[in-house]
Amino acid sequence: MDLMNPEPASVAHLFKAKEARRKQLAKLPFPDKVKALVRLQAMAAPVLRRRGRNVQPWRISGLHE
Amino acid sequence: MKDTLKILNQLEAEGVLGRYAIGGAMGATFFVEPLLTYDLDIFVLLPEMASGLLTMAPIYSALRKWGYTEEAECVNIEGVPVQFLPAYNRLLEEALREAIEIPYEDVTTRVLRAEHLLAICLQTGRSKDRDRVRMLREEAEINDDYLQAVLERHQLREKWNQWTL
Repeated sequence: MDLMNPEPASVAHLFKAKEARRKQLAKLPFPDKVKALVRLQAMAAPVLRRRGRNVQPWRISGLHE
Repeated sequence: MKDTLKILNQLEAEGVLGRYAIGGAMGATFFVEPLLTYDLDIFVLLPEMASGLLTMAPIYSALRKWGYTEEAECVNIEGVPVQFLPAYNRLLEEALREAIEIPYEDVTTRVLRAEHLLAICLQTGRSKDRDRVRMLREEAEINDDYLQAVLERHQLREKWNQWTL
């Protein structure tokens, strides 16, 4: 696959794979989703702070040992 | 987050708040993929004061006594900024009454039903609520009959049609 000029069929395949992944994530146990959320918060925080938002990833027990 | 939930359970057990349930982005996250948020929205039924007025002051006062400090409109409880939202209309009161009990590790808590989360999004009506409606429809298991009854009771059918057809 030429990533610079992807064929429409391969992009459609990527979108389908993303959708499947999101549905898989939806089925995770709630505590696992919270762990994923805290990782997401940490990844997004620098970007949001550069935009002037004062955000802080949650510091919850069991995740920062 | 379970330590946060333990404190919420304690507030409820001591009658500081009437009943609580997780809503907002964390509520939706229970049903869909993890959604980025930095606070935990907690809907609360407030005990009525002798004056007939509803106030959240007792909640903040109790939390301050227990050592939890306010950060803007939230209270940081065990590392999680919690935003308390009173159930100020019939839809929210119903959503709280019908909220489902769920285990979170070894703690029990409550989350609003997906159908009520959808209805609240319709009622609130922001662009991000419209996106959340889409996600809940695509990823959550929705009881269609239950949803339609909620939409009918709270005059949200027209908005539902506008957003989904």
